[in-house]
Amino acid sequence: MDAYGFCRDMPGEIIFVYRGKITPGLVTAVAAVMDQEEQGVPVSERKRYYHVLVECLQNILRHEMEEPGTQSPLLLIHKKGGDLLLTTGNAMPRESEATLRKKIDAINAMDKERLKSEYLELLSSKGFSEKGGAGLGLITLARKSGRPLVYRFDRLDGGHVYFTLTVTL
Amino acid sequence: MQELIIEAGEKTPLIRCHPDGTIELAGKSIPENSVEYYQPVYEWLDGYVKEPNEETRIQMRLEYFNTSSSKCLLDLFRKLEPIHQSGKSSVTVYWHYEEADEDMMEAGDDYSTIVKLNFELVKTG
Repeated sequence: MDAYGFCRDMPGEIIFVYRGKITPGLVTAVAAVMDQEEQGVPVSERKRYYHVLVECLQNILRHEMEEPGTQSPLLLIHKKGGDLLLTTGNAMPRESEATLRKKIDAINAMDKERLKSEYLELLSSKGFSEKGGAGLGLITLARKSGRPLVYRFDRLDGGHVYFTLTVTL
Repeated sequence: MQELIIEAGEKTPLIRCHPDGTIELAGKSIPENSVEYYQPVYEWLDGYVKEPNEETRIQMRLEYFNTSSSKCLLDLFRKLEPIHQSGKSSVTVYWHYEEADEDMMEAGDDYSTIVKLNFELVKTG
């Protein structure tokens, strides 16, 4: 994946680009950058950005593939129109694609009320499965964003795909 | 029972649990592995519910929390449901949120819907 080309061809203003291993320290660093950028924005909105950022990065942390040769994770934050767009990317097994597509499509079709009830249902369900908890994270993103989650799957070698997710704020 | 105090970290909240029934969480909760972090609190609560105070008050003063913490918080509240429902203790959650923070208010509202304890949303600022 040509990260530079990807960014160069991106319309709008780029605030932050990162490609590499997601580390706990990264979240703090990026949050500081975003904070600078969004000085004029009310605190509650900035908290929302922070929450979305943390959620996206921790999602990758949970599902990151350590195998050599797979494309490293990506984080891209840019402004387009009046919106702030947060894009994350990470490699995953091809088998995960179908289920993930279904999940996101279903979430995008839900209205605010439905999102809330789905969230509460998932939250209250028994069993704590960190990895399988992708449902809760995605719903949180959808709720915080208020817009459809935009995604893309690109084929990679070795039976993997590269999953890119954009959250609009 | 001993008091439990867990100091706040960069990504973890201050937690204080006192046998007199006052429990407090403050700060942010965004650890990658929240179950590990909250484990000592669960264990403390398992002990507390054997001999709870007549009144149990939980002060929630979180700035924000990630989704894995949200599950842990629910489990925390759930540990106190039996004593509340049996009448052994009157348990109230005081959910503090800043006036401008709609998301935090909504989160409190979410919990109040599914948690069978007394719930009070407290607006600050």
